[in-house]
Amino acid sequence: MKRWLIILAAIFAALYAVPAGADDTAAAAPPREQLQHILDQPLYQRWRLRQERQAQTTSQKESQLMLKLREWMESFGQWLRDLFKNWKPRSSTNPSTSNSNWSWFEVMSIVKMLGWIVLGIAVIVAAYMAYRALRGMERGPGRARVLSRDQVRKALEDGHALAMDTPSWLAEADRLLSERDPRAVYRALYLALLSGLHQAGKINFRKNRTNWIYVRSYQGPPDDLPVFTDLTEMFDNVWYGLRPAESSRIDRVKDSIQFLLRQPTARRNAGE
Amino acid sequence: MSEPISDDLKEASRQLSAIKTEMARVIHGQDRVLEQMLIAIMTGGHALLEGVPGTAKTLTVRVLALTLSCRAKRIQFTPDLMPSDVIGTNVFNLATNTFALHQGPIFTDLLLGDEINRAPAKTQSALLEAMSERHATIDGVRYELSPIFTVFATQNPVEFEGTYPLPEAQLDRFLLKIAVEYPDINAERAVLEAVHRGTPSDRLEAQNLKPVLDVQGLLRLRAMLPSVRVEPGVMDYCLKITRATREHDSILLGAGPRGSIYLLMAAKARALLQGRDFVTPDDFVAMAQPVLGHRLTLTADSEISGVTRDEVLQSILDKIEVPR
Repeated sequence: MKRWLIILAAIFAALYAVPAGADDTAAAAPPREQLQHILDQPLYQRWRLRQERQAQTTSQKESQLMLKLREWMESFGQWLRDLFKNWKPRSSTNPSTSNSNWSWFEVMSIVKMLGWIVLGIAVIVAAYMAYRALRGMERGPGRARVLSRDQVRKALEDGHALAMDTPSWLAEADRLLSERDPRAVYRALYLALLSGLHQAGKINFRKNRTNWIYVRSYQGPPDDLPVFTDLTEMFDNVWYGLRPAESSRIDRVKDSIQFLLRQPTARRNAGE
Repeated sequence: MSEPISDDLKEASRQLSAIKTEMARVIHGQDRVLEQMLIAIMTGGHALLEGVPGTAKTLTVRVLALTLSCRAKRIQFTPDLMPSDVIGTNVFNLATNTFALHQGPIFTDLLLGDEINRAPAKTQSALLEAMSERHATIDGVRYELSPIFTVFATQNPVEFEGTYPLPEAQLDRFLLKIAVEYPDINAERAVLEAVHRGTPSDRLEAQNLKPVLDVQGLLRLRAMLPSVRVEPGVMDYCLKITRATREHDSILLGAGPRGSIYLLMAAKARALLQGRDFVTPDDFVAMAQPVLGHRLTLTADSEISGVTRDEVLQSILDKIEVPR
């Protein structure tokens, strides 16, 4: 009897604790309601709030920017309107001028406006040239630049092949050879190779690319690839593997570099 | 300056190449997968193979076991699998009035955990101790596992119905997550031709596979890993990669120190596999995805906007300067 009472109590508790058919209705509800049910979960609520907050911040920033832009555009438009007012042939105020003949004042206005336009274009061109110059420092070796001893040392330590052109790197290799530092010689020679190949469009040098990415994306004649592979393997052995850097092989390495740089480029957009 | 590569390292490299060649006779067009599995077994790490059904994940593990002439067992993970089904249990013997240990499938050299994400967390976690400590505790008694005990777990990336995603703590125990993709057309043609000749790849007795190494040989190989050189600049490169995962905007949780350790070990094993006794930055780049990919937790916003872990890792690698 007691057990039956417990069972009945449990059934009543279950009936009143959970709305009848709650799961069934959730399952049978149309897709939109099911989606709403999911989106009402705390996790999604938090995400939605964060998204809305971000959207608000972005729209506030955007609206401020748009306001400023609109103000600037309006003032510019006003300036243009004032300028065009001066162009109108003022036959009423100045009887000496006619519709077909412009006054000296109007010609000057046009000249002034043209001057402003030319100045604007000059500023844009100057900005573009400055941008190109800055990009060029990243992109191509500094052919005309003469680097100081410290700058050359830093370029060598950083492994930045484009800091100098191939002849400069080869000269640095010769200097290091005279200092009896064959390991650094191999490094300078490999940087000379990378610099030259980049200049020739056979690889696309980036400081964050590994040596074998250059080998895999080599754009020179396919027959030259084994030479590039051998040179890369040799550099890896000397530089990362600390193998003995043989001074006797340096001339042969230089010859291989010169050979690779003389070859034509197969395709453009190396390494992309 | 270092000495030329030692004879032992040359021999180790030759043996690894031989294992790979032997496996490639049966497993067509999965060179990268074979290489990464060898890296896992070389370092003593476990691997999670993720790929759609029918890409020879199970077969590859069986072939590896045959090539290494070691024991292999398989568990098919199901929703009703119990922890005792994995590690074993003590069974009362009425005849002798004593409890006798019935060892579970983890008492082996290579364990294939098929569809690991089909088992509930409790059963999955039974593998944790075995994977990290290489021992199992049954009724309070500790049992040592094989010295080369390695788990190769598989999971299907597409099906989520009736699966229990592996928790981060367990994912972190896997050295590698190997993406098993479809073979290319030539490899698939080779598979079809083998079937056409009546010698399908999965009939291993007909493949006449030759063991290349045994357990002792594998342990000797593992002992050589410390001899693989890592230049300080290259070591820093490894550190920069893992530390960058902790500072990236799209990553909520980056790779921990275990990620750095595993990345270094995997890079050393790869170097040895390629016949080198030194690590290059390329080794880290090649192993970054399989070692670190599954250790990253992306932010909710990144997940929703469809950014993948591969893309995030690539963007990290694109920012770090290579020591040269």
